[in-house]
Parts: sequence; C-alpha cells; structure tokens
Amino acid sequence: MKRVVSIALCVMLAMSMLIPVSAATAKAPAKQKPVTLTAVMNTDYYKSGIIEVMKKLTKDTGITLKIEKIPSGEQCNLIVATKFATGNVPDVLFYYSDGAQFKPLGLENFVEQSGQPWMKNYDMNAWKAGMSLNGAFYAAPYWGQNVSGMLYNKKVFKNLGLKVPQSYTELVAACKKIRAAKIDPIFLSGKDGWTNMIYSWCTATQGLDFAVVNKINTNKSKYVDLKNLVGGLSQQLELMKKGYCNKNVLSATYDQAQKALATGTAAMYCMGTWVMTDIATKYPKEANDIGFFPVPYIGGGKDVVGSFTPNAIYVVRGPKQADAQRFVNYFESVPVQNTYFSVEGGIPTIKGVTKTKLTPAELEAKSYVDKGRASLVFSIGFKYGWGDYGALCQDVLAGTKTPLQAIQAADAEFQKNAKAAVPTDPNFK
Amino acid sequence: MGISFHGYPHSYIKDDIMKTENLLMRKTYSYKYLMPGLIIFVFLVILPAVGSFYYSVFNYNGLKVGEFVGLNNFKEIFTNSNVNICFKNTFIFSAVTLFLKVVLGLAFALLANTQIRTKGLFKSILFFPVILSSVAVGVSFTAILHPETGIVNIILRTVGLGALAHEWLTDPGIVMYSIAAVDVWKNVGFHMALFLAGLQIIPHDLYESAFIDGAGSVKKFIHITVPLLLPVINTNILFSIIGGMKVFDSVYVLTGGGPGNASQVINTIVLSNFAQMRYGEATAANVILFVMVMITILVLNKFLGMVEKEV
Repeated sequence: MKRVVSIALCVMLAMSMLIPVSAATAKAPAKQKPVTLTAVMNTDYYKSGIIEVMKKLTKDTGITLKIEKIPSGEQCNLIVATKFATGNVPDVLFYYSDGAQFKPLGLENFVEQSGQPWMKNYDMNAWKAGMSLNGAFYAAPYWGQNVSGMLYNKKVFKNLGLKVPQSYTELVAACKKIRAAKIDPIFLSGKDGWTNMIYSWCTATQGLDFAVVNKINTNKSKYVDLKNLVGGLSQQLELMKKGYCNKNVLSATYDQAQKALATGTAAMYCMGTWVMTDIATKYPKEANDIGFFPVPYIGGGKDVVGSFTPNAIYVVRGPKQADAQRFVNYFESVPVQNTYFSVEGGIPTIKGVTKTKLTPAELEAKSYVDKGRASLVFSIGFKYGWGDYGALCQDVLAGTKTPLQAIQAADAEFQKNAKAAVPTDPNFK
Repeated sequence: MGISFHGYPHSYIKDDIMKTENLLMRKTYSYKYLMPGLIIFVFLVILPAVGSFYYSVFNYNGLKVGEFVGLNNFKEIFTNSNVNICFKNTFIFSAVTLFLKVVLGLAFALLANTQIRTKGLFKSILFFPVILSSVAVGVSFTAILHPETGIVNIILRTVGLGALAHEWLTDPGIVMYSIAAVDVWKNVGFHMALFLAGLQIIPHDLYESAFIDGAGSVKKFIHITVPLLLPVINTNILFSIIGGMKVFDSVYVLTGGGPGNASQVINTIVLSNFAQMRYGEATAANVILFVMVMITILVLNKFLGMVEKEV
C-alpha cells in the first residue's frame, strides 16, 4: 500500500512539473524566423511615416525591410520597368496605384489581395474605381488619401479682407487685390513639370462622368473632348499672362512654392494636400495659417475637390511572397496605421485609424470630402499613359504650345501607348 | 640524310614546314590576344546593335515582344509632335559646339604651344572640366544660370549689363545655345589637347624657313600650321559632330528636355519612349540616330579626305 501511494505521488509530481512547460509552450507564440525583404521605393515616398513604422517592424515580425530608394518621375518608371524586364524584382514594391502605370509590369507578377486580413478594414467599393484593375485588388494603400485644390495663406487673405472665392471671376478679383499689395497671388512652380498639371486636373474633375473615361479607354472619345480640361489649362495660362503669378515661373520649384505659401510671399498655390507634410516639417508654425478651398471653376458652390487614390504597396510573386504578404498585413493593421499617420500627414483609407497628424488645411480638405463635395480626380482610371503631361503644361506656360495643342499632343501619346500595348488592344488597331 | 622529295633533302622540307608553322603562329599570335576583348565586344556591342534592328520592327514593352509592326515604329517617331524640335535642336547643338570646340580648341592650343611661363597651368585649367562628371557640371550650371539667383545674371546686373541677363535655361528661344555653351566649356580642353599634340609634331625648321623668307605669323599659320594640322582638324570635326548628334547628358541634367519640350534632342526622345515602355519605338529612334551618324561620318570622311589630299 505504501508503495502504491508513493508511486502515485511520484507520478502526480512528475505530471505537475510538466503542466507549466506545456502551458508555457501553448502560450508562447512561435518565434518568427528572421527574414530580410527587399523593397523598391520612390524617394518621395520615404518620409517620417515609414521610418517610424520600421523602428518596430523587425521586433514585431522578424522582418527586416531593405529599401532601395529610386529617383521619382520618369526615372522611377524606367528603373522599375527595367527591374521587372530583367527579373531583378524586389519582394515588395512601393509604386503608383494607377493601373496604367503598374499593369504594363504584368499582373502575373503580383499577388492579388482579396481575402487578405487587412481588407476587412478597407472600403472596397469606395476605392474600386481607383485602386482595382479588372475588379481585382493588387494594390494595398500606402500614404494617405490626398485631395487637390487651392491652398491659401489665411493671414494674407485676412490682412487684405478677402473671402474664399466661389467663382473664377471672384478668383481674378482676389488676385488683382493681392497683386496690388505686391504679393504673388498664385505661385506656379513651373520648373517641376508635374506641379503644373494639378490646376487643369482640378477643373477637369468638375462634373466628370467616369463613363467618359471608359470611352477614352476604348477609343470612342479623346482628351480634347473634355472642355473642362482644355478650359483649365487656358485659365492657368490666362492667370499667368495677366501677371497674377510669380516671376520666372519656369525657374520656380516645388520647394520655393512651399516657402512662398508658408511665409506669405505668395497667397495661393494649387496643389494636393500631400504638400502639407513637407510644409509642416519645414515651417511648423506657419503650416497652421494655411487653408484650403476647391478651385473655383463652375462656381456657385458646386465645385468639387479632386480626390487622389493613395499610392500603393504590391506583393511581388517570388520565393518570399508569403513574408512580403505578412509585411503588408502588418503595415495595413490599425495599430501600425496609427503609428504611421501619427507622424505623417494624409487622410487614412484604412477604417478605424484614429491617430492622425492632419494640418488645418488637410482638415478643411477632408471636410469637403465628408460633405460629399469630392470626386476621384480626373487622372484616375485611364488604361494607358498620356506621356509627360507636365512637360506639355510647361510648353503652354512657355508659349510654345497652345492649350489645345498640348491636349492634342497628350491624345497622340495616349494613342501611341495604346497601339504599343502588348497584347495589342483591338480598339486601337 | 633521309628520303628526298622532288630532289630536296628531307631536312630542307622539314625546315620549310617549320618556317611556315612559325609564320602562321606569328600571324595568329596577335589574334589570340585580341580574342577576349573581341568576344566581349561582340556580345556587348555588336549583337545588341544587331538585335536593335530586330526589336525596332516589333511592338515591345521591355517585358514581352508583341506583334510585328514593320516600319510603324519609325512612322510613329516621324509623326511625333516633338520630332521637328528634336531634330532642329540636335542640329543646332551639333553645329554650335562643332564651331566653338574647333575654333576655341585650336586657339587655346596655339596659345599653349607658345613659350609662356604658365602654359602648364593654362593647359591644366583648360583640361580640368573634361574630367569632371557631367552630372556635377549640369547641377552646378543649373544654379549658375538661374535667372534670379544665378551668379551670371547677378554679375551682369551688378556691372550695369542687366539687359544681357536672360532666363538662360528656361527661355525656349535660347535654351539650346545655353546648353551648347556649357558643353563647350566642359569639353574644349579635350579638343585643345588633340590640337596641341598635332602642333607639337610640326617641324620647327619649317617655321624658321618661313621666317627667313619674311613670312609673318598669319602667313605661317595659313600656309604651314593649317595644312599640316588638317588630319587633326578633321579628327576634331568628326569627334565633335558625333558627340553633338549623340548628346544626352548635358541636356538631361541641365533641363531634362525642358522647358516643356523646348530642348528635346533625339536621345531624350529615346529615353521618354523607354520610360513609357515603348521599347520598340525607342529602339527605332536609336536606329534612326545610328543611320544619321553613319551617313554623316561617311560623307564627312570623304569630303575631309578630299580636302586633305588637295592641300
């Protein structure tokens, strides 16, 4: 009997020693194997948000992200296209969300995102037009939603007793008064070609029916048929010719525009709200004096703001695509998005993000979106590129092309890109 | 002595065979050294060049080769809205840089060939820009030629010549001339070096004889220097023309083809096509440039050769 009891006690003792081990084993998550992922990113995208996220990335996931920063603009397109053509692809690609840009890289190179955990917090219907291709989502949002319109220096307006113009006539009148006070009414950063596109994109967005986009995509219509596009480019030229812009427009840069707007040497700057991240960093006090209103084209309070889709992260097919997908799911999770947007401006597209760093201008822009006075900006949804539209806008400002000639040249580039598509587009034979 | 062959002793035949083998080995010896470089040249230059003719007649987006389009890519180049500007700009750039590089290069070489004390320093200063990076030169001159803050316009305004201050890189009317001036500044030292080498092999006794005969500097230059320097002048002209027609880095760094498309040249159009993944069309533009350069070289070579012979 004593022997039986002592054996039973020993067995119980041994079993009791095992319990904490199994419990510990059950509770402790399996340690993620460290992995290094390569990423390619436009240098303009490498800002405070991603830097902050990367501080805890490795600790939380075991992933180290090695980012290769590449120049922006045409060079970015060229480098990315060359990498995919030569098979030297990264594991993660930070790129445009515009289908016309990433579709030529080959959809078979990317992992479709439907069904991924992060999409539960994503309004697919709202972003379908701008972020999906053929109904499939390849792009996860990077950076925030941005809105285009007219940023203005509130102090200048207040000092001159000006109200936010509601029509083009009122805008011209305001410009006249501002010029009389020896301040540049509207800053045009002509040297950086892409910045010249925004004004006509804003006007072209007014009353834009996306059926027109489909017609252009199937060669049933052309850009010259969009009166508000040609009209916007003509207005921009008119404002410059009337002397309501800065001197040496074609030498002025995007950086100079930020300084001019922040310091009040220029009253207005037509741009997307993404510029506020830079202005808030460089001129933190002055950033609070900047406001926002839609470019007054139609007038009567009917003008809408142009809403840009965020940029994108793509999971590239390859041996590390599972880890790359893990990174994307981590990045798009609400806690990480809170980390990102707490240091970086922009309106989050992931639902449930509460920590944002929106400047007054961005909040004013967001209010137009919330009121329903927003539409996807004109440039979204086209199947093919239309060449360097920024350079064509520069041609108009330089006087070497009329607005109509510039849009006709854009049409010609669109046709060329459509005809050069592989496989051939039957609508453009 | 061994069996004879046609009356010749066997040892003589063996000698002949050995001599022939040695001769063959000597003749092929240098080719063996050439082979590695030749193989690399064929694979990295010749084959891609030949391949470009193939891709220029297809729809090719850099990832997949599409359908055969014949001369359509060439037609698209010639119907591009910027084609007139790019050919005109390439011609202006080639002509301006040719004239300035040859004239200034020769002038500096003549100066450097005199007995001035600082000729070593003079040659170094003039040659220094040649070894600088094109990107560094471009970025520097973008600042130097800025219409408001650039040192050129500041100096002009300070000395009362404000009327001469221009928007050097943003005025469509003068932008190509500005770019050409920067290119001449950067590369004139190279042409000076070529001319200097040519000047230094002209025998001095010819000048002495001419001096004794009463010839002045101008006559010596016209009747001795120029004729004996003709091969070098021709080389400089060819280098300059080829460099002018193929220009890219100066334009790209200084203006990117802008303002707008005002300073587009053939190679910036090629880049623009590559960036839009129209690789077939970009390759066709390269083929056009290749043909233009070949024709120019052949015609110039013939003409300059005739001039050389006459002189």
